Amino acid sequence: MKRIKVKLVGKGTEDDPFTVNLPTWTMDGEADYQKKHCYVFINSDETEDIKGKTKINQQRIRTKYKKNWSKFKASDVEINE
Amino acid sequence: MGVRVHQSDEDKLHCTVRLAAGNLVEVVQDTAADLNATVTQAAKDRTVTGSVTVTQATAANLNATVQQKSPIDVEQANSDLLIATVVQSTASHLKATVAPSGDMARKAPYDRNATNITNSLIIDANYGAHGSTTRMTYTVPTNKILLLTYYFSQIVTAIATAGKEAICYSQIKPSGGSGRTVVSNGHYSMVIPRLTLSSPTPSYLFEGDQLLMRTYSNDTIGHLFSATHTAIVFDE
Repeated sequence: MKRIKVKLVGKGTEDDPFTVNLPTWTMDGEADYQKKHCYVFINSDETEDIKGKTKINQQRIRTKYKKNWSKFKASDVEINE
Repeated sequence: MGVRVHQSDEDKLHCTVRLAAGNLVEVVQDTAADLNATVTQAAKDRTVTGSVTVTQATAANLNATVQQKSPIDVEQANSDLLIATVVQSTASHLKATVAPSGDMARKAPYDRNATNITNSLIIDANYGAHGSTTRMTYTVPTNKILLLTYYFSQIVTAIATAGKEAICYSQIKPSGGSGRTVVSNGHYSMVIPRLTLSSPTPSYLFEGDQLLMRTYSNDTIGHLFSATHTAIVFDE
């Protein structure tokens, strides 16, 4: 598992809960509801190391999940600091 | 020398043919009646070149029992049941090739590149009021099936506020559909210590389906939420 910082989406309601637009993940710690971000663990094979930093492997997610994820964009989810 | 038994009308065909080594036997049933054929080739040595063909070309059942040393073809050309018994009663090696087509028995899930999946989440008691939040998601990968064998959800409350609630629940979200709650585990207006647990019936999830765990609380007093999914994921 790898830990990355991602965007938190949603409104926190029953119909539109706070969530993360990734196929498989587990939240680590509490989210920052004000700044709309959180840390999550994702499978190692869905990440890649670029210049020493852990990034989402966009292509791997597209091929591994295909259905509903064929147009996935890592840039819509990832927070780079 | 060869023998051909041919049944061309609608009656059932029952035949028993016994020939000496090296001869050819062909049993053909080309009508809709059942074919029951017993063919015995009484070969005495390994130089036999004769062959046996039992063919049922229609939609009726085929039951064939063939005994001989030389190559045997038993073919059921349609979707009905084929029962074939191949017996090698001599000291020679028996080579039998079974090539089923259409529906056939599948390997057990645990023989189809199965892996165990366990997702555990514990949110400690410091978490107070928060909106409905998805804490964990598992999406079934392409060409995989998930058998959810166990789901455990728990809320522990040392003491809660009257009129407030905390909920820990699990959802199965069909691919492209909205979520269905399978477990809802809540504390409502509790002012005494309490532990609640839930475990639903095992179920199957298919490609693109999602397993989610969510929490909600409007109580400023913290609760401990925990959930565990245990599942087997295997090839379709």
